Amino acid sequence: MSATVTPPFAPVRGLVGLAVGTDHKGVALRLGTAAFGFFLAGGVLALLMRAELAQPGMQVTSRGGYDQFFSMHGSTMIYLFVTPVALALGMYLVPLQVGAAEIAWPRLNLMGFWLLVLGGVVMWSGFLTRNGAGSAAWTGEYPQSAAVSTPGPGMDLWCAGVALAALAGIALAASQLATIAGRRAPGMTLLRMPIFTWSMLVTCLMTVASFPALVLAMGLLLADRHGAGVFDSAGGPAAYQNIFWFYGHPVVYVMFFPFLGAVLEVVATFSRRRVFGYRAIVISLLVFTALSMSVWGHHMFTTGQVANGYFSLTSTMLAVPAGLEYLAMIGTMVGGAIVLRTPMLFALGFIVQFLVGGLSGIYVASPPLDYHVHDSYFVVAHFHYTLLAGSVFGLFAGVYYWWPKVTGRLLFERLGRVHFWLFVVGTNVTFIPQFVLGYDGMPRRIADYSPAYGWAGWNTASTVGAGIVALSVVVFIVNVALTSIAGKPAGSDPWEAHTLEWATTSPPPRHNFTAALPAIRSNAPLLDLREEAIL
Amino acid sequence: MRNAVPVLAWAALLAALAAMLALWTGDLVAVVLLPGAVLVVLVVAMGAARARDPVERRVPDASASGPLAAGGVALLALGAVAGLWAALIGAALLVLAIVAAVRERIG
Amino acid sequence: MTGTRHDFAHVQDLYLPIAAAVFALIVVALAMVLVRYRARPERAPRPTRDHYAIDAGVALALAGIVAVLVVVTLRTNDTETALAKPGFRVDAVAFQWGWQFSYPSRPGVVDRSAPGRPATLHVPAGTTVEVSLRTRDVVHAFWIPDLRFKRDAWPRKTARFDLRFPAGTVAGVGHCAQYCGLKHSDMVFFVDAMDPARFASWSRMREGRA
Repeated sequence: MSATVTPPFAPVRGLVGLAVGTDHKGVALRLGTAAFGFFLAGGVLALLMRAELAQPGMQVTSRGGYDQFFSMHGSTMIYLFVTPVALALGMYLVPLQVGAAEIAWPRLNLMGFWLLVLGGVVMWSGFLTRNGAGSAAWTGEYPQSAAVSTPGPGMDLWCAGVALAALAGIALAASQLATIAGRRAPGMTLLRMPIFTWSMLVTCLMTVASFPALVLAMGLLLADRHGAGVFDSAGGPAAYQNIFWFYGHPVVYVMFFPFLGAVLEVVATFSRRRVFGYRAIVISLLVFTALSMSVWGHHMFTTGQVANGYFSLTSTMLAVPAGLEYLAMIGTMVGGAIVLRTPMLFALGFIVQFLVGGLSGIYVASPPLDYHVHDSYFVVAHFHYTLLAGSVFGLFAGVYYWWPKVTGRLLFERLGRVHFWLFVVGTNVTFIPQFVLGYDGMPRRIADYSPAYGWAGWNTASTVGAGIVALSVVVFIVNVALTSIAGKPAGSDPWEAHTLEWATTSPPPRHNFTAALPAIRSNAPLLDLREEAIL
Repeated sequence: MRNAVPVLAWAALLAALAAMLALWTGDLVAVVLLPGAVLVVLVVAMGAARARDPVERRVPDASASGPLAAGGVALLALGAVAGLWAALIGAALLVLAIVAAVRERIG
Repeated sequence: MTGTRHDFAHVQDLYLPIAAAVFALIVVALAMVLVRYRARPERAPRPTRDHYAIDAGVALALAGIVAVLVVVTLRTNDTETALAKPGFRVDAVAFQWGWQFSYPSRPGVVDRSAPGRPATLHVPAGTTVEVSLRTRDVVHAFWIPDLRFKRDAWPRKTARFDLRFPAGTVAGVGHCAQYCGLKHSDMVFFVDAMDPARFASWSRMREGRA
């Protein structure tokens, strides 16, 4: 480290310490824990929805209640779970991976964590109000979200909560960008940074470039709901959607690239080989994310208010950099010595299942096809394949991989396998029926359907799948609990990995590295060391 | 300066995509969004170019300014829902947060 | 026969096989790699050597596929959304929570949803039907799954599109596909596409009653 670090205060312990501690590792753990709590809450909403939809008729909830459930399910999963956990992964690892003692802007970073927690509390407090929580979908569909259609403070609280979560994302991303720019250890040029750090760089660029649009959309919506007539013109509702989706598409890539980066690291480590085509990966990360900022109109193909041709072109072009990422993942395995530990299993699950999501994405990028399946369960299946069967698999690959570094103990292998296989079965049993249902004509965001359509069987199957997913999450929680009592100590580098975070203790000390860093001559400094030792 | 290269490359890609959209459609709202993002990214590029490893830093282990600022912003946002009083308390918290941060850096 | 269902099939017949082929290719490649390069005690991993020519080749191949997909998509989209010479006109109005269909060439004939009784869209089969779609309140969407087509109804805008219902009598269903509040699930309508003889007698009967 080249900076002298003088901590002026002793670390604050206890509950107060949880509130004010600035160590990026502690904050990342708190953010990850909060995000996981929101995952469970959003998951309960999903189970309620699936219980309702399993059979025709309203058995579980009222229509108004269902509308709140699906709106808050999407809102919780996107604003409060996957986005924050992606940024938390970067918050923990980026300083370590670049050889820094600390994150660049620790106070801003801490503020971001608290903004996220408060945003979630504010959003969920809507359930306690007279009209219930926000119920205009996670997108705040306008004019459904206008005061006349969705009255009540719950919807206002939703707007405020979402705006806070967006501000949180910007603060967290800015801190990581500053760390990458100014805190890299000597010898770590940009082209020697680990692939995960590169994936966080592009993720944070997308975040700061697109999340302000969400803050703007929420501010305008709040003003409109309080009489400002913001969207009264003929083009007003479309303006809301353009501004919202300008954020709403990049965010799905914010919820993808960190996990792609994690999977690339896992694949490299468990193939015991450097990543294949590093420079091509870097270029395709930059192209992929830039392109993803230009595709938002594909959510509006059926509106007749956007240039369908442009957005179809840019959306379909995404296949090129995506294909290069797949080439990188498979190319890294070719010639390797593949070890199928739990992180690698989840990485493989990500590779196969995200592909279903990605290919169905190319499908819906064609307006003539989208005119049929938009706003149906087909599209619901598409984005759950990318987000749940894709990104969350990548998340678990990263979690099982870095768990020993963070906690000092290894998660149990056998339970990890059970978690993996239950999760694979669960996600596919849940969402394959939804492709069928949507294609057959089942709209989304409906609380009930007539038995005449013949949709009950597929819906029941989907609900069973959701139960299996829930069971897999329980297995993970049990694994965490048992490991914290009786887990095996991991040591600093249990996987024989390549990057700098494995060069320090598990867990790392307050300022990350106490011993001198190894020389950095490539993007895999620990692998270099090991190869030199053999020679 | 080298730091700015990938950021500037990204901004250039966005600008090219923005130009293509502007040629394709006349819808004002859609056309200004990407150039707006380009401006944000150029600011990031400037920051990246000027970033340098600090020689001596005082890194606090704890800072009240984080949660205070977050609480202040949250109450400001809630001012739209709850009323002016919430916004005023929020503003006060923000001031406290700035004061706390300044004191940590000085004292 | 032209029409939205045909346009949809035309594009899907290209996209689905390519998607299936790509999926199969990757899964098979992955399986082969996992078998061949599984860790074995006697074999060390081969050091990574980058071959950027492979990356460039893959990028070019994918760009070629993308070009084909986009050209077919954009051409079909132009055909599908173009307005042909006027056919039988329908004025469709969506509202919370039902539909109203009126027919300018049949003044006074209106099909309107009532609570518990969905409206029926009456159209001639085998010929162009020109729909003008509006909303009275929030955004709704007019979706007939059998025709593989939907279009949103936006406030202060009129959406115009042509549909062709297959020849012969068709009884189908339509949905509102855009979330629009409490009774969004109930915004169903029926479709009665009638062959010329039946359509003529329907017209006579409805106008006589009007």
